[in-house]
Amino acid sequence: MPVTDVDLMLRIQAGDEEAFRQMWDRHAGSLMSFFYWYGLPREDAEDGVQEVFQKIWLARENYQPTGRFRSFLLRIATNYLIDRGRALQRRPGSVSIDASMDDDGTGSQRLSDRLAADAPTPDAPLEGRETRDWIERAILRLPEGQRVVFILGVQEEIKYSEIGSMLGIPEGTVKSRMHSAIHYLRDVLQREREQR
Amino acid sequence: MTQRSGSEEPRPGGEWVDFVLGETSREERERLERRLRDEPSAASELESVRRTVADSKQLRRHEPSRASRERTLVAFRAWCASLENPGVRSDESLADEDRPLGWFEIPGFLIAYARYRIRTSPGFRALSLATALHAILFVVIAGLTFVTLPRDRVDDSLPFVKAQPDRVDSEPAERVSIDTVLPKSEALALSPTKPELRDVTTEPLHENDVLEDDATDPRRLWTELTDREDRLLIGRWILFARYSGERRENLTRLFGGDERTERAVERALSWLADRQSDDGSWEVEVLGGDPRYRCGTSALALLALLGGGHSTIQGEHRDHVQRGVDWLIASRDESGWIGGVLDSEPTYLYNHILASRVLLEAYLMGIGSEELRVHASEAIAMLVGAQNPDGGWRHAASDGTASDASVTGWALETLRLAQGSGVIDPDNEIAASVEAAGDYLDSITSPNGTVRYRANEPSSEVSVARIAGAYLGVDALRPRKEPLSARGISRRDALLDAAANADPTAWASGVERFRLNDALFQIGGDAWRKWNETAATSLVDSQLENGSWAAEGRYAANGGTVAATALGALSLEVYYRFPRRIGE
Repeated sequence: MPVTDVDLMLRIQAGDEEAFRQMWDRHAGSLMSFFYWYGLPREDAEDGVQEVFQKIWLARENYQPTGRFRSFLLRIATNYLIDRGRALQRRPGSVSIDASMDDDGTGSQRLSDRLAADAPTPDAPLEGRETRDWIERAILRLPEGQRVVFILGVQEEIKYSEIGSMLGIPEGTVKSRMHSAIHYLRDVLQREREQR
Repeated sequence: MTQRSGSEEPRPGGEWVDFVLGETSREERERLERRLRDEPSAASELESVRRTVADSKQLRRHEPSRASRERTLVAFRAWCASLENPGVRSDESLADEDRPLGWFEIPGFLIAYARYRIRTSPGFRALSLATALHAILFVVIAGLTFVTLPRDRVDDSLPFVKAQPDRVDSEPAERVSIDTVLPKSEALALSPTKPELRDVTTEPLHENDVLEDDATDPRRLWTELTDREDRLLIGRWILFARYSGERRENLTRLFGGDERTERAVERALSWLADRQSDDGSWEVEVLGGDPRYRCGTSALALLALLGGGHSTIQGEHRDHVQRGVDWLIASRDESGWIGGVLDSEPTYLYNHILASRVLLEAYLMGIGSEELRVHASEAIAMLVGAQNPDGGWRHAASDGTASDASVTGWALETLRLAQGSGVIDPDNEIAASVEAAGDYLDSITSPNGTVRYRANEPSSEVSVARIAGAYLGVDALRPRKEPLSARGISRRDALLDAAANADPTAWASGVERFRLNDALFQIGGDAWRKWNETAATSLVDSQLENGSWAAEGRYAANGGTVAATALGALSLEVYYRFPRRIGE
């Protein structure tokens, strides 16, 4: 009988290192990908994974084996991002994860600063570029608010209502951000296919 | 690019997104299915959304490093240990967990917590290290002060001593400050935070070497160096000027830099060092770049570190340089190309050229490493072999297509550096390659000094980077006593025009600004002074709080923040990175 996440969590509650190790092997990769595609630099993403696992440990007493364990993890992960965003917002020139889509958010943490232009150049021919590369780059260009909604909804297949609950935003906002994100990505892909 | 809707209202067409994601009610779903039957356009809309969602699910998975896993497991043990609970605990001990810590348990808890934070948090680790080092420094200075101060003066300067009756009649004491006993410069030299470094610039390389003069006035040495046609000139300059010390400060001041530019360089190099991956490369894709340019961008970062005086043997970031160089060497493919085959494209020469240059400069600065010399010489030899019959280079090695000015400019500058380095001896083949490349660039230079992208293409937009590249490769590094050719004069004039009309705060790309900056430094004179005043200030002012520069302009998405920061640092290292061979 396969060991479930809940079984592992109960063993972690008892301080079982092997269970913690198995939990890491099972979920660290997808959490890392979540943080990475949210737009954190690799080392920050690794820190994020570590923070989530620390919080799993700290929350072990309060953990109730109800609902999807994956959602429990992602809720911790999004809380970490929100806290991190608030901390960055206290520093000048930074934006928060829950910034409004109208927030221009110019600052050092803004990914669009890093991704200023994608105009093809003579040195960067379009041939050979994979669709996945375009999607990945386009995702990193989405505003933070849209990006996190998109990752949770499309990659993690979490429902709008639960995303709203995780991020502390209305379901309607989740919906509109998801629509904007997917339409933007669709436009990028269409443009890329036309240029091939 | 419409990244923002500017509204939180669901946008038109969004119902198909909800449909694909299964977020519609039953009634809404039935309504949409009716629309699909009735409206042909609805089906194509649905298909485009469905395809986008399907494509979006193919994102690459990223795994945390093994080191991260180990850190977390160590932390897990520390969490357990901090609660006096190593390994598996019994239910009884769990029930006991919420009791408050006894006073005798607090030191153990704090030590365990500190050990965990030191292992897991770079910031906390740095803070702890800095605190410890400052404590050591304080103890050293206090000890030295105690040992060095004349006893009577020290005693007289202390108020409680003056109050003693047997000293009342003594002469008024002269106050002794720590600065007079131990000048600040000496105190810094004693700082345990700075590793004791060998000043290789003062070591003689061979008889009659100009370095033996040990003059710190760069004007004198500049004249001497540039008057000599020594084959090892550039290599010696690098040793002479880059490593930290008085010479570098003098050069910086002489050519228009100051403490602000040097601080900006330091901050940028620290940012770059912090972002280096464990394997020694820079993951550009994480920082807004294109993974296909990982090798070239990593090489740019390494050039910035080398340009700032950090080599494999010396400098605060020497471990980073060593790791980066090792990664480049390990990246050589079976044929010997570095960063060669990328996706479906064959050998991509930008990567190889920049990597070769790193190996070359690392060899010159890491005196005597035969392994580095072999790798550098092989990389350079391959570059020579990749030259097209027309004298230039293109993206792929000798692919038979017409060369282009951009790759050729970078390749030629690297070969000129190799020519002066002694890495390949004799260097007849390099000399022939350099000459052919110079002829090629001359052939695509117009009478007004602009440089075409390729020979068989009409002159399109004026690229300052191309002109500067040709000037740096052909004109700036020519023998000092050889006058500029007619084409060289026209290129120089075109650059002067570009500088006079440019806004140094706004550029089409970071590469363009960097190349023009290097070229104008070589031209020197009022043009350089005027340019540098604005360009250096704008660069310093635009540096972000964390030490990086934002990637901007046409090529921003190629190298991302890593390339932007490396180019910014290289631009501010211009005062000492290479000798000014000509000009005022």
